Amino acid sequence: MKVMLEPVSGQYVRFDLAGRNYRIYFEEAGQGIPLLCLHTAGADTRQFRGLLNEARITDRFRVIAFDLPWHGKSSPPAGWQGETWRLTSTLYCELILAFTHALALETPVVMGCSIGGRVCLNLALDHATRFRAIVGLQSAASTPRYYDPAWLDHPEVNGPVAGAATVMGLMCPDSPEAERWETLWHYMQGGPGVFSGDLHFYQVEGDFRERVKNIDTAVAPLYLLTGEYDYSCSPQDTLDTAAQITGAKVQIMPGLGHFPMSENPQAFIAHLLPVLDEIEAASRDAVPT
Amino acid sequence: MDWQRFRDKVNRDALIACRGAGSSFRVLIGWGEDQYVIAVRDGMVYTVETGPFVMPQCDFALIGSTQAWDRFAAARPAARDQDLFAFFRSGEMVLSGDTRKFYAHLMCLKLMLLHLRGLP
Repeated sequence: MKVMLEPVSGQYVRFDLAGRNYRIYFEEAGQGIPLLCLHTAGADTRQFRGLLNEARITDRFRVIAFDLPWHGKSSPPAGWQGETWRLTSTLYCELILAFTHALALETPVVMGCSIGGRVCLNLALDHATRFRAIVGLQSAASTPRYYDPAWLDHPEVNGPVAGAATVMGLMCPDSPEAERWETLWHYMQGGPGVFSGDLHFYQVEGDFRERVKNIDTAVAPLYLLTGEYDYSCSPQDTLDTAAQITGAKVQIMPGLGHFPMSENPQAFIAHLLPVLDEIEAASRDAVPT
Repeated sequence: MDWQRFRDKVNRDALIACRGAGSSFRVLIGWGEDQYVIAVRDGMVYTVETGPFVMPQCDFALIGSTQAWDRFAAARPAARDQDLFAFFRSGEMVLSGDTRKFYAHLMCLKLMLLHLRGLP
């Protein structure tokens, strides 16, 4: 029997935020500059399994990914049964900052995908001093509402399966089958109303079109990486957003879709490594001798 | 479109047999001026009827231009032509009818429509 123990560890951290106690699950691997990873709507930390197992990253970055409350292994806070999950930009930023504080992460790099990519713009606007660099994947200032997410939380629809079916075509058909179907499995395990609750932020509330021009990339460099097969956050959406932000660095990734780190980790890592090299070099230069 | 071949391909697909099990619905495809009703029972294509129809019996309809469907059904679709929802976003395809049924059977429907790819 061949056994391989991954160098990834999982843990829980508890903290209070706005009168609620949260028990948050996170996974980490590596050492060095903290690289905080934010998953997509309706999914969880498992999307970053490729990065957490990539020695070319973990030998110099401490890769950390946490499940938002209601997602993955982060259960909702007590009292959830009488509530509906609805992600807002304020709550999202507060959760990220609280997690960063709870783990005493010192000016981490933050990298998020989809809703995580969107909130990266929010962090760049309002909390840039807390981060040494910001990397938005499938990131744009807004997304038009092209389907009604209410059907993903309907008593006569299997929401998690319908959610997986909704997002399956966002991936590049050439991405490895096993990685695509693992990505869908994460969606099939989502809690009731969680994906649609995240989409409130993505499709309705988290619209930064009027504000992104105020992002100061001199405070925290901003990188935007988008897969060419994504029609939800299309390459043009990212380019339109970047055009408003002086100093934003954009890369369109051929052969990747909406879930680059999960649908094809190795292809994505090839695009990410030069970005991390640049961030690492800038961090080295910033250290006083 | 060779619908008999489409039906054979769908009905031989072990993935659909697994993930589409239990799905039964009737979808009208509006491919430009042409119309087809695909009847699905328990994840298998039962019949494909060719229009025009006076009063088509279907649960929901997917209506798009010939050009949109041709791009979707290409053997190797261009980036962002690979999914129905891309055409919803661009406005090139429209869903009508029973949206609940559409979502309830979306996994089966999407896996089935992949078999349009590259058919003569």
